[in-house]
Amino acid sequence: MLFFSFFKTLVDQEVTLKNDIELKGTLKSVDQFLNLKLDNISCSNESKYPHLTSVRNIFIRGSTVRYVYLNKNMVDTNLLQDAARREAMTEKK
Amino acid sequence: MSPLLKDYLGQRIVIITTEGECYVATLEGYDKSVNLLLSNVRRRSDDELLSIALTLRGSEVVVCGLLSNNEVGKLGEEVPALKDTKNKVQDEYLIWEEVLKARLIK
Repeated sequence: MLFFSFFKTLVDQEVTLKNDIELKGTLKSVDQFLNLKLDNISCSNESKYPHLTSVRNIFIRGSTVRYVYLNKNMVDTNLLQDAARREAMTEKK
Repeated sequence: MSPLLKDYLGQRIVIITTEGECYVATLEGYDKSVNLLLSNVRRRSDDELLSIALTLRGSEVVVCGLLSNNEVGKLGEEVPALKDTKNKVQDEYLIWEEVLKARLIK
């Protein structure tokens, strides 16, 4: 549940994803399976993989995501640590 | 039910599968594990009709992209094949053969 909330805080930020294609786009929404929806995507190796030309809005199945690159300033680590602790506490109960 | 795919219903979408296949199809339906019901499924590279209707298991789906302004999905020319997402080790059995040999020698 933590990552679900975490990604929700990142909505409207720019993120880069990588499977074999590298994508960059604005995170629009996320659901409980961490499926992601990106808007305004660009493909950083488009000449190699032109499959996604003329695609702007994309849905990615959460299970296939390997990395999500984030900018350091997007993440409040203190807040995240706190949230992780709280989550661990509620699980214990 | 995941609402994320709702906007794509009835639209032409590009689908990339874990096998590295790339299709263009109309999204007719889906469920919470992203099993897809597709119609008018065409190959992305040469626009060849593959199937009139098809269900695709969610575990095979990597990406669904909305084709802008419903244009024809054909890419033309040579399109390099996508890699699959399985990270298979090439000739893994040879490695294990070596490992077993080494053990037997001991």
